[in-house]
Amino acid sequence: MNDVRPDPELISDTNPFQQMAVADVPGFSAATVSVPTPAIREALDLLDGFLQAPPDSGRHGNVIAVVGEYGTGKSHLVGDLLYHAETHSDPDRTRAVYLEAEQKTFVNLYKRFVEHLECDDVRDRVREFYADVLADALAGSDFTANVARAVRNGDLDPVDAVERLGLMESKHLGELQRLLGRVTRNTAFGTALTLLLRPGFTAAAWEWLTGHTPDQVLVDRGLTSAIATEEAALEAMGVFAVLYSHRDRRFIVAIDELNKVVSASRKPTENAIDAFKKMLDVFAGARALLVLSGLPDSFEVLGKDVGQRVGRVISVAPLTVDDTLELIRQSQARIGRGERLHPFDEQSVRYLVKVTEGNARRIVRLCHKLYRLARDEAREPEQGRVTDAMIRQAARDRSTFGTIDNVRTEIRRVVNGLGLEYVRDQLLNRDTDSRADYWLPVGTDNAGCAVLLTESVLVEAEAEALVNRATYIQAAVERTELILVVIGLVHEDLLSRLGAAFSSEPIIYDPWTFVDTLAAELAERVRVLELASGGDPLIAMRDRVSRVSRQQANTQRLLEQVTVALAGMRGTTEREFAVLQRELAELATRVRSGEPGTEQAPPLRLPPNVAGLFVSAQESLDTVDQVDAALRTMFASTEHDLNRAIDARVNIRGPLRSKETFPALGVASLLHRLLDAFRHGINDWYRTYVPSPTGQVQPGDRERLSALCRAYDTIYEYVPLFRLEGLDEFTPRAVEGEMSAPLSSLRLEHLKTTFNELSNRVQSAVLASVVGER
Amino acid sequence: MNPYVIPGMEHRPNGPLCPFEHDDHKKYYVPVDHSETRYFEFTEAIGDSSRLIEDGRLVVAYGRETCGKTALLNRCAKFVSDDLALREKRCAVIGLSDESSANIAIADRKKYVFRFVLDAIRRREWLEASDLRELQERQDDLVLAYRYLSESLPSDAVVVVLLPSIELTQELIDYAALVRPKLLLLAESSYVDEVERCWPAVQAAVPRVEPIRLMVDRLRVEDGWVFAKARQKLDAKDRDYPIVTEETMRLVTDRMKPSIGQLQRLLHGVYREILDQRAAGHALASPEMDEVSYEHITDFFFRASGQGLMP
Repeated sequence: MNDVRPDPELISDTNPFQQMAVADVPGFSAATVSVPTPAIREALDLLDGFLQAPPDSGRHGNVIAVVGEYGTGKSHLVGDLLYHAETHSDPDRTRAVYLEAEQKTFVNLYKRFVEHLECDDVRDRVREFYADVLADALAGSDFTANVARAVRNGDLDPVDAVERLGLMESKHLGELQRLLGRVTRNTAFGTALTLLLRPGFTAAAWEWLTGHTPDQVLVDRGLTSAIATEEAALEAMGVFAVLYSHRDRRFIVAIDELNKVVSASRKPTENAIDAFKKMLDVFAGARALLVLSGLPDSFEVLGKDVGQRVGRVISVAPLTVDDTLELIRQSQARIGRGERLHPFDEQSVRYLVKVTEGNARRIVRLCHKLYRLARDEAREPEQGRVTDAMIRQAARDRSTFGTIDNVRTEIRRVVNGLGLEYVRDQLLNRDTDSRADYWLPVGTDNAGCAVLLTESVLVEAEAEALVNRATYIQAAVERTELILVVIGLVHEDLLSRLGAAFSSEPIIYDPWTFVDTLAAELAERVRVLELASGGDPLIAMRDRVSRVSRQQANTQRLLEQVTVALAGMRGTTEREFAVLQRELAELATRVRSGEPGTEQAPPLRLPPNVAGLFVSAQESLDTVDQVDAALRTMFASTEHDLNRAIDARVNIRGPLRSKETFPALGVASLLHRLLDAFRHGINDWYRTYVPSPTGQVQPGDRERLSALCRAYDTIYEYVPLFRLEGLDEFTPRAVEGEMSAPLSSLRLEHLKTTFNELSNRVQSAVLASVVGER
Repeated sequence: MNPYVIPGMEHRPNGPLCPFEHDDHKKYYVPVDHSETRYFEFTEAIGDSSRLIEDGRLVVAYGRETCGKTALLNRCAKFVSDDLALREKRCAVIGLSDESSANIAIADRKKYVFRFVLDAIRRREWLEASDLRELQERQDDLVLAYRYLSESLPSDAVVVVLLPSIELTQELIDYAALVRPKLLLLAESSYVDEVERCWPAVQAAVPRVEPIRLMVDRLRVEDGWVFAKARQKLDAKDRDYPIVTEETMRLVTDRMKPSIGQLQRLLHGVYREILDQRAAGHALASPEMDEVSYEHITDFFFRASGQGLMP
């Protein structure tokens, strides 16, 4: 079965496997590799039953749920299904719509749905209803019976017929409006769809149907609001199912990645769930086919009532060894290499399936890599084969499954998005094995969530090391939840071991889904910890309020970014001003020193746009760290009034006794120093910066600047900013005996935002300042 | 000569009769589809037209498309105009039946109408320049504007406005609220059920005198022949077209259940084709063909549905 001879084709550049292994549903074609797994066969059987049911057979619509984990091939199945529908039905009588739920709400999903349909197409469907209405009205008399037949069978356009024969348009359109209102169970849609047929109203009606605010002519006709709620959007989708299933047409809608709209972390309202149920009923009643594809938790969130309305649940199982063998053969045949396995063999495929847990996306991605590795080694014919060692090598290769830097960036995004605090590389006791890559304290001091990062876990020893770390962390902390993020693969046999040591199964990093998965997992873990703490409800409430305000601050940060972008439009003017200032400063230096200036004389101070960033960071730190001011206030009070001086000393002892204060002072002090050091570093950069003859930044200078910024980032990443909350009471007001307002989380968030983005902003500002000098 | 072409309407053979523009149109009205009855209901309700100077009035003609609403209201306008002339009063008939489209918001449609009315009055030089300016400034509040107009018009003048066809009942109710002395608003609508449903609201909105509603409908079985007979010059020696018989017209009217407008379009089309064919020497339309049969008409109707034979 497996030829041993080296394969000359391996030298060819064409890799039979997709690098990213993402299903291209709209691009599905006869050439797409598709293994007929049991799930795919089941889905196609259902589809054939739907497509081939004769008219008046009592055929009813159906709702199919395609359920599976990330990367198992749900989208691929949907693509296969839609391609099958396209190639096995009358194109004039079948309409299939594919929707990838990227937009997170049903309203956005509906907008994309209706864009697929196009105005003329929808109008043609309404025209068919109108033809029936008109034909019914004319069929009763032999005078008009011929016209009725011609209208009904489509030889005569009903709108034209009414116009040409001077028929009573208001009566027939009124009947159409009532009919559409009745079948769609929505009078507003009856009105809007009917207006599509009236000259002069089409654009306004279509505009409303595509989710926009109604034009005044529609408001006059009772359509007063846009399709802008989740409920309205779901209802609207049902309306089109009715419209497109009329006259025994076949209408198929596939909603892929439903989990982006509905998931444990994105629960719809009760009203939206009710509307969703109604939509399923409408699809079934309209004899249309609705395919919902998503993660299992989407269907759990939608609840039992929705589940009962799903006609068939198709679970997409992991690929078996046989499936994978077939996949490899088909993939090779697709590029003309024949149905061969080489450079794989059954043994390597078996191992491949083990380490990927049969996850289709991981298999294809790894196959791509392995094929390339085998090809690279093909100069030595006996080595041009995929081995277990090569599979491990590919699985450990960072480029196969994403880089640790990307993962860290995404983790930071998720944690900030959830409004959680974190510390990087935290040792939870003195043992180095108790290190959490990210430690997220929850509630009291001794509880939190630990996130551990690792590359592929393919052998026993690697799993053992991780289990050890989990055990040490659990021993070091009173209550902890543990999340393992794997940037790579986990051998199937090691999964249960890891699952038992951590709070749940490892999250295998996937660039498309990681953010959502981690967010859901973290939210759940934090919830578990909060429930377990049970203790002081006030503390739990305070934490929650504080988290909400952090989330709000993150939103505000987004707005600020927009503001920054707008401010950038003033850049040119400011740069010119900066150049002028620098030239004046240089001139002043030369005058003072009496020396002739050189062409690249070092600037004496930072350009204003760069200096401004440091000043603003310093100011935001000063709003949080008021220790100096508090101390000055205390000393000042001794000069005036002995009693006040005693009170001041008493007052300042309060914060000094708090165990939160000194870690907070340490953090504040480090931030001051970090800022100073960074500023000096940038100043030095300017002193040694030499522009290229074209005025551009030389690669060496650019790299020096990046290195400075990276240095800042590396240190900043480790600073536990949340400790600054310990400075709450160390303020001048507190020293004077006034009630001290708790440190505003908004100020703290502002500080975080400023320091978070400082390196990026400084880098951009420095480059802009020197480029602008020419 | 096609017997269904009315003098003055050669360019628009299926348009409504309009006696206030073409005096001789008066004699072309045929007592079909209750329109004669409705006309007399109107004249009786109006009585002495000079009373409009004191009260003003709203009249609503309603019935499906091509049932003769516009022709009926045109006749009513002519009646008022003639009656006022007899009483040495002035009357301005402003015909806006064809103006303004349905796909414009109600508020804008009403503004357009007011501007047309203002232009028509300006041309008649019935108002001082200062009044016209005041009226222009009041366009954003039409209740005030129409009130001002009513008060500013000469004491012996009535303005008759034939409004564009109304689809939405709210617009009808709005116009009811604008009725003022010296203003006769003639409205029409094809939306029969809607007008009947909103009629109590229309009545409640009219400030003074009860509004008048005139419903026109499809033809009764005998109406087809009444109409055809009136148009055919049965005893004319110079007749150059075949006739249609009472029996045929009863069949057509019974089975097609047409409106007066549809029948006009149909018969005008049939005769135009015959006359065109006859002029071209076509055998089927030879001078020997003396009668238009039922089959001839149904065949034409079917062909017309797909080919636009009826303009």
